Amino acid sequence: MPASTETYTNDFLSLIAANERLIYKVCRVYESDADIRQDMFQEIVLQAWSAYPRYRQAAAFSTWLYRIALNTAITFQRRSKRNIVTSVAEVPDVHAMAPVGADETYERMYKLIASLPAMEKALVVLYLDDYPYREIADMLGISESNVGTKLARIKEKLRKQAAVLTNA
Amino acid sequence: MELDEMKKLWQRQHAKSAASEEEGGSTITRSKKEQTLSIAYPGEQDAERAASDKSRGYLNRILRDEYIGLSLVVILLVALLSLTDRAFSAAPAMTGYIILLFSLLAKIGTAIYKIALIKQIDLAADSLTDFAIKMDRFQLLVTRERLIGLSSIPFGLVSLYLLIDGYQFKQLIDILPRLVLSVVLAVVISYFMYKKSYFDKIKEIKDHIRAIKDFRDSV
Repeated sequence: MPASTETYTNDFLSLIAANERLIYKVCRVYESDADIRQDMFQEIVLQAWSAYPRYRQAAAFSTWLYRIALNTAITFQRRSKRNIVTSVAEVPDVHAMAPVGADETYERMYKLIASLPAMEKALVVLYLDDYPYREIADMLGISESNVGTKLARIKEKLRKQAAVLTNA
Repeated sequence: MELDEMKKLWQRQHAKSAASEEEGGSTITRSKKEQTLSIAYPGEQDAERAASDKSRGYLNRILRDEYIGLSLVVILLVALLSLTDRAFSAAPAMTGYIILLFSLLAKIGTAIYKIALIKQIDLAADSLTDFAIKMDRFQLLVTRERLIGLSSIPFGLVSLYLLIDGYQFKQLIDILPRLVLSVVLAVVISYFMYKKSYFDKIKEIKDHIRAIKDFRDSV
């Protein structure tokens, strides 16, 4: 623990400030309701704060935070039993999920991501954020080759869901 | 929409968000984040104290509840041990005493095991699949423990009766039919009461564990 607790807190807050978009991305993908999303954001920051004394800087802060954010969001979603859907047809209004100013294409993208199971969502988010397969594999606890296989399956699934969305 | 197309859209959108420093009109400012921490740690910004505060965050809340539960069971155990003399007064009292003693010891063992399980969970170090499976296994254990605990309440009451009044054997014979009927009714009611809230929940958790394992293991 650093000598100055104020510096310690400031360091943490600065790191969160630099990476808050990452938390927003995760919250937005896992939760459509803006109020609940705020709760999820707080829970992630709290979990990061609790784990921060054990942060060793061996990994990039963003990667460390991503793991916490995804773990928290998945558990948060499961506890609240919200947004657990199996088809794009069951996805609620995702207007609030897409960033402000996002057009229909973005809303469509968020709707498609929202239709995926929790683990696949995590995989897709990491892929969209351009994480290398090795890091995705490490974060998810699967093999690197499995990442590629699963992404291929998800692509196929999304293609089908997109067709459902187009026909709806 | 293809995944690669989504990737381009995603990165374009988030690059735009980074440039405007605005996401959904709700950018959290530094003061807001400080507020978030002060919500968690009211009245202080002392990081050292805050980081050691075990009452925030769901994992810490679970751990805190387990410690409270363990303390209560230890108090009950002490209370039971204070009745040891009474247990030696008659065989039924001893039977009740032994059942209660083993129940409490089992409860303490389970609580220590649960605390150890929770302490193994690290959401910053565990992979997503490991974390999800550990959390689900813990929840499954808790759900089963509650089910067993609640279903055994009638037996606990009978044991307590045997311990307190066990030496009056004739009285026990008199009330035995009513006692048996009460226990049967309690078990039947418990079964139906907990079927929905516990058995279904157990099934749901098991399904979730299976889904996570399938995700991890299927190639």
